[in-house]
Amino acid sequence: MVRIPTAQLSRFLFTGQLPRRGCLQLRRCPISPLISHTRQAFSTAPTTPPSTEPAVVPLRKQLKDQAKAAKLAGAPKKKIKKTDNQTVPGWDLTVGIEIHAQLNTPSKLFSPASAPSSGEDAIPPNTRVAPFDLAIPGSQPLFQPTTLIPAIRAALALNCQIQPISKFDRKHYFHWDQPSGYQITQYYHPFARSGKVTLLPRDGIAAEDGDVVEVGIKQVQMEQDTAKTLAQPNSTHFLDFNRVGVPLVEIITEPCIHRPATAAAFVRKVQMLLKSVDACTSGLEQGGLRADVNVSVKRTGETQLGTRTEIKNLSSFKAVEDAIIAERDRQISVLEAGGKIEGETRGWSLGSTETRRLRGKEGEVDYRYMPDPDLGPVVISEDLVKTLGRTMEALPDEEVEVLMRKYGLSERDAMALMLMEGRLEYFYGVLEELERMLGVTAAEDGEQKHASLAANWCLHELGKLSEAEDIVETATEVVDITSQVPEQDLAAILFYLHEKKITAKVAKDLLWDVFRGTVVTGGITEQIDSQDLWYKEISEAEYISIADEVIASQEKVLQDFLKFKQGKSKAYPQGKLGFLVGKMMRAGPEQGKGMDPSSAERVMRSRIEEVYIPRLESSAPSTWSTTAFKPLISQGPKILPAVVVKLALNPEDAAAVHLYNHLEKDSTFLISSALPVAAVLELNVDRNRAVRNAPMDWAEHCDMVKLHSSSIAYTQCEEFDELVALGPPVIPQLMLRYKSRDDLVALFAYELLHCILWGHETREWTVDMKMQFDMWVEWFEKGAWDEAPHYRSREQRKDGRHV
Amino acid sequence: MLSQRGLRSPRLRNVSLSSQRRLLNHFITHPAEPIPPPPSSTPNTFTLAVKDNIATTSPDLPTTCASGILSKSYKSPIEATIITQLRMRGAVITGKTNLDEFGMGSHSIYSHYGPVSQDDISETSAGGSSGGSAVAVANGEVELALGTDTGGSVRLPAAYTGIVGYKPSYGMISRYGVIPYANSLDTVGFLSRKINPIKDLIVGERGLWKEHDSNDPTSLTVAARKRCAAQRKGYHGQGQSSELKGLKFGIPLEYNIAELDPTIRDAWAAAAKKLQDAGARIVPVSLPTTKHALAAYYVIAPAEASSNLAKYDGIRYGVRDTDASSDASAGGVLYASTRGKGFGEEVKRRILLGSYTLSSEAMDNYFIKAQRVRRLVRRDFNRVFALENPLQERETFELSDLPEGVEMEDKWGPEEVDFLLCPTAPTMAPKLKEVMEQQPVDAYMNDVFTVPASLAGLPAISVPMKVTPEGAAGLQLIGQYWDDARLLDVADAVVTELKL
Repeated sequence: MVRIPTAQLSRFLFTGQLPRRGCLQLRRCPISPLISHTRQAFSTAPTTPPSTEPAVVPLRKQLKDQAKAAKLAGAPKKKIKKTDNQTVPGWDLTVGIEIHAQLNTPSKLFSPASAPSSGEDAIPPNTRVAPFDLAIPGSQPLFQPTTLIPAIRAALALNCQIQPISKFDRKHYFHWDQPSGYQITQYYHPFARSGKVTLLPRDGIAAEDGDVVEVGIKQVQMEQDTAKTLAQPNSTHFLDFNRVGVPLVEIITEPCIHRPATAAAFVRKVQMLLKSVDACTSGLEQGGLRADVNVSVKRTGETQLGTRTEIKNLSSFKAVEDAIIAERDRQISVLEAGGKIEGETRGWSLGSTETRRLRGKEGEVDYRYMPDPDLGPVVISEDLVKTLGRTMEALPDEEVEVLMRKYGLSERDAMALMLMEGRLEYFYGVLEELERMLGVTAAEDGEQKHASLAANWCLHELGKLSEAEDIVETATEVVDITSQVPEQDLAAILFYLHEKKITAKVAKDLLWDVFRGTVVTGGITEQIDSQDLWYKEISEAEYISIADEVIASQEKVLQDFLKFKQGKSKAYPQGKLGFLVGKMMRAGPEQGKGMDPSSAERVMRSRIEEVYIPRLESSAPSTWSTTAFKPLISQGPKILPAVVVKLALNPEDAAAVHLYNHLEKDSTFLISSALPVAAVLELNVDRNRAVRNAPMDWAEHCDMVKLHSSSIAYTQCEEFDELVALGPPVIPQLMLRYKSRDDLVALFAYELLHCILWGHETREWTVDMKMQFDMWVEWFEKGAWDEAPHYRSREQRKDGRHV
Repeated sequence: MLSQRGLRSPRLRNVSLSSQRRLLNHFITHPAEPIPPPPSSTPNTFTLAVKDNIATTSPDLPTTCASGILSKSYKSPIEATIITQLRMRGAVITGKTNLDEFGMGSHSIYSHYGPVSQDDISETSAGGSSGGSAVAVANGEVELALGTDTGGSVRLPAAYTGIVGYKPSYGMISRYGVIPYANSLDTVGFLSRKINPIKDLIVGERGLWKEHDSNDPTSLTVAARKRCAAQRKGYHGQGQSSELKGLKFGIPLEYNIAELDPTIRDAWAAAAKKLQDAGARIVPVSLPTTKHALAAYYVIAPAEASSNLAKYDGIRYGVRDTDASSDASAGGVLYASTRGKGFGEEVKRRILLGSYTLSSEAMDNYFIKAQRVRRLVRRDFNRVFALENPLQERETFELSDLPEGVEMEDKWGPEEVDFLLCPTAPTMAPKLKEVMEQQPVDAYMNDVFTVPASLAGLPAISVPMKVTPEGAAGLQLIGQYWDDARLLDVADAVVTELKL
């Protein structure tokens, strides 16, 4: 059996390198394994001798795999992440969407009654009703031309062709929320056709859709909304006709969407577009927008689209995506079971995993579309379309660019501002006020710090208000946070914060005060005055005493700083520092009043570095700080394997534990309460195994060339280079080898040791090298910690320096 | 007290008014005291009966449409524009008259309040659907009555009861508050014993022709009214020419149908002869689409009716069937029972008919084709009238499309006429007993001469025509669109001429 060298295997496994053949092709039988006492020392290792086991799974990996398996076993039905569920191999998904959006108009579509906008929920029911809205016999529809303005804007935002002539049709169905028994809509001649919406990755399209998706808009039509049903106990329904007849636009896409996430992105984008041109009263979540989706699947490669089903009344972006995924999967499983998809209407309730059948084709309503005989055609002049196009606000994509470029917002924050109801306007309002107070504009302020501060507060700090428990409990409807916090008050708070006149904490408290109404509008300055909230920084001495107080209870954390200081961890423990500063802020007077976190951090840092670390270093046991122990440490990690051997011989050796932890750079190998000596030894077995094989390979090479007299034959080969590359951990192996073999190889072993310790460039006499080697061997044999070999190079000796 | 000259049956002359009303059943609501005009109206008053599908707001005048689904519990919150207009002109409303439910019928028998008759022994049809209004006028109880004319509902009862019935051009009189049967055909109609009171209202000093109603989207705008009137005579107080000499009357060849009662055919011929003698020219004309017009009408009208009547569900107004079974909860049909019990059989028949012709599989074969026929009917009229239709582009016609037998005036085609002259109905007023035994569709035949003008939106008037040996029928004059002023003038002249 050919043994694969472990080093080679590990190179292959960890770095993907394939072996280059060495100078000699032949690999003979393995040489004798490790000496007996070493084997005994590692007898706790659950592995069989390496010669019979080509690839050993390291313990750490084993533990990891076990944990993984346990996790999987514990949660066998782990949900597939949505981002991973955009496609089903072998199947194509096709989705078309219909969006109904309430137009932002002063009146209803066919009556002069005023349309209750979403912000006015307090309107008493049935007070915004004209006779026609109730279908009073003899009343007639009166088209309100002003409703065209938001409708045309909406269509323009969707890049549609506005039709010069459009007509209204009646769509018949019986429902108590539809007083006429029909809805007036534009079935045969919609007012806008052939639009398109461009979706970018930042809109949230599926990764599979690449950099851009264009969704074709088949048509946009105007139509009437229905009444609101308010369910009461005892199967009673109250009807509020305020909403009946309010104009809607229905936006119908081509069936050209193929990923669930992209469908949701489309709905989100449409909402944003409509909002940006002020065409729409409120978004999906507020009920101003509703979406129906048509879903069909076909096997990849088929040309004919599958039978589609319609899922009605999806009221959130999440519902759009989830419902499509569920319906796609349902259709696929039906087809895979040999079934047929019925053209039917299905429903979706939030949080469910399956769509449910509402009515099939036989139960389908025949809407009996008929041109409305009372209503003439709507004629839209080209001039009107042009004027509206000219006066339209910037479209969202441009707006996002402006927010990012001019105000320095992140793409994420810019999109969030665009998507939240009224938040963008609010942001601009706050920013304007703030800039007035600061006397700057975003263009002048190079860093636009104040703009990103304002954005941050408009999004995140305001967002926290809405999450407050008492709000959620008391309010039945979504509270509009921005209406509770006047722009000027937030601007005042931000002004003082930006100018460092108040602390961030005070600023947050003030925001709550404003939100809860305990501060009158415009009264921020008075509030700060009266409550004495102005920021007055405490003295340096006070900082120091707080820092000391905190550290007193957090000594453990100091170890991390110590490790960094000693070079045992690469990164400064900033997180730990933050933790300590946080403690400081809380420990300070009146919850950090008068404290600046940056000052606190500065003081804490200097206290740690200048006082506590030196104290910690000097507090090590006296025996360990002897001059005998220092040179041992100065040898560095190269002696680690030897220390491991020491530990294996006596796991209770506290000095060895200390030395080991001191030398070990890999924090996952540190001995601790969680990782006892025995476990660390096992981890080292794995590590050592790779190290052990390399000297064996080299010994093999030396055997092959041992008739040569020149040392070059022994030291200038791949195996030697590899040993040098492996570095200090090889040293104990060399010691063992040297002891067990009395041949030429040993002669060159000290050259190798020297190379490892000092590098090629330091030329030493062979005799010196031998001396050095002997020191090591002796130390290794004797094993006394305070007698670790301390070798001085020739130069050092020449210089006469003594340690 | 009321003049009783017009009573058809001599026996009624000696009974009280309330007994007459009970026997003839022409009123649904007749308050003890008539509703006076508002104080701001003109001092000259006249009595008015209102067909009960025209909304009135007086608490004493519910609006029932002769339907069980509204019943007398329904008090309209809106007043029809025509009621407002007439009350401002001194109308004293005596009551709301009986009709075929929602105007659907030709004999005023399909009423929730029982059939109307024009004589005391309840044997003769008063015509429909404005039968109650016609009887109120014929009975001499009112000077003027309002009806509605969708396919002849004013002209037919006028013909049967021997009075004048006038259907204006579509879009001239506001329909606001007129409860629709078929919006694209419905017009308010006027019934009177004489033409003059009607003429005064339409083209008099405060002529209704001028008044646009912003509540009715199909009411012509003031600008359109002026434009139309500018191409017509008789508006703007030009000298009223009741001169028949030189006028051309067309006799539609296609109206000489097999079902035409011979006595009526004779009377029609005799009338034409008299007009010719008076100096008018009588010209045979062809209206080739006539034979399809009735079918088109009975597709379009029920289709619109099925849509218009969808609103009657008993929820917001009217009668609701509150039996436990009717208000089925989830999955059930909330108001099938309300509608099933509330509507009468003819209404239900037309709703079903209309629902079918609008259904997706029948739409193309019925509703769309009927609309096409409707356009052809209008084209027929435009071709025979000398005047152009001001609402339409001038069309060119293929002479080869004309049936043989139409005489050419010159190489450009047949002679063009001022008015069409034809009977209003193919028979005289039938006995109610016969009518009730008929198949419902047989009654549709009565509308054959009135429907074409409705489909084309043209003004038409039915005037009494003597029939030998005894009895009355209607003679119908149809004019080009917005030629109402001249139509009323000429009809007056024709009535005078026929009496001689």
